[in-house]
Amino acid sequence: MTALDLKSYVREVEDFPEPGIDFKDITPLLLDHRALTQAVDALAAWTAEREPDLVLGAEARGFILGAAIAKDAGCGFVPARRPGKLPPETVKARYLLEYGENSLEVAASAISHGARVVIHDDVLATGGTVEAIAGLVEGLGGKVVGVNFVIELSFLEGRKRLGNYDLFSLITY
Amino acid sequence: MDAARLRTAIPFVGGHADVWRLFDSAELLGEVALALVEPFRGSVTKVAGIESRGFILGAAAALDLGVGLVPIKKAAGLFPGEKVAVTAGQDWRGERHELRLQRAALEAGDSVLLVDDWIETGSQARAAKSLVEMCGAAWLGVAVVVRQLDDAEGLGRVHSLLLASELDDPS
Repeated sequence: MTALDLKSYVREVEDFPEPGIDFKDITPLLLDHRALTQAVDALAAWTAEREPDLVLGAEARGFILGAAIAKDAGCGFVPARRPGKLPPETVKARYLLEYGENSLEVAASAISHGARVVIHDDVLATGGTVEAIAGLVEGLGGKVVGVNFVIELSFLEGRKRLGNYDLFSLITY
Repeated sequence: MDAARLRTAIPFVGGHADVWRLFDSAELLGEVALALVEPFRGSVTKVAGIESRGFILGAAAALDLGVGLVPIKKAAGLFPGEKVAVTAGQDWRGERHELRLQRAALEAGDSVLLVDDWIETGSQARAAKSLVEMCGAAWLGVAVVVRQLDDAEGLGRVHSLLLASELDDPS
């Protein structure tokens, strides 16, 4: 089967959420079965080569493909959630976003010592979210063996910030 | 799928069932997704998942059925384009959320199955059904891992893998 141009399944919304920003909406990619399958296949194949014990996805959009990637790569899925949503015994990271501050929690019991972890999120912007999650994983004794994204906004230089990690993105702007 | 195995995979932590453990293994996640969609195979054109937990099984179910995933989002977060929105009744946390769906995500010929891990009050499922119908698409029903809800009137076919009363609550 001919590969689809996945970029044509991303909708660019000009001046959203504010003037000068072009928002990348991946909903059309999710709605189209062939595009969805191709995206998950490619991310899962890259993930499987890193031989992870689990895939960790950031709430909420990292959940969408994160669990499907984990299933296809043959490993479990663990969420990084917004505060207060997980059962007790979590570790928390706070980090700065382009607009304001955010924090995410990971269940401490989910990452065993030496666990090989691939982190997935939908968009790589400045890299702050994934850098914070990687810090949580490493703090629990896990090893981040890869980070991957559907979309990379290369002009925000997140790849440089995440320079210590093996990184893959499906679509680059 | 095997109900006893499923029960063991959902332990109680601090008085709450920890559904996350279902996703600890690829095998279990795959089996659960397949069991959820099986009765609906052939009749679904889109699977809907509600932010956030509903995205997890939603995507796996959509891939199994060979259809697309329609994300239904809560009020916080960036979600561009023309939308339909409805405020759901109280959920199990006692919170009310506005749910949103991009109007262009569905068309008149679509038949939609909602996939989730747990249904308790059904308030979000009812809101999701309204959104789907506001877009002119048909609502098939709900596929859910654990059903706690008694009254499913108006929700179409509700297919569950386990009843909440079958879970081993140690308390």
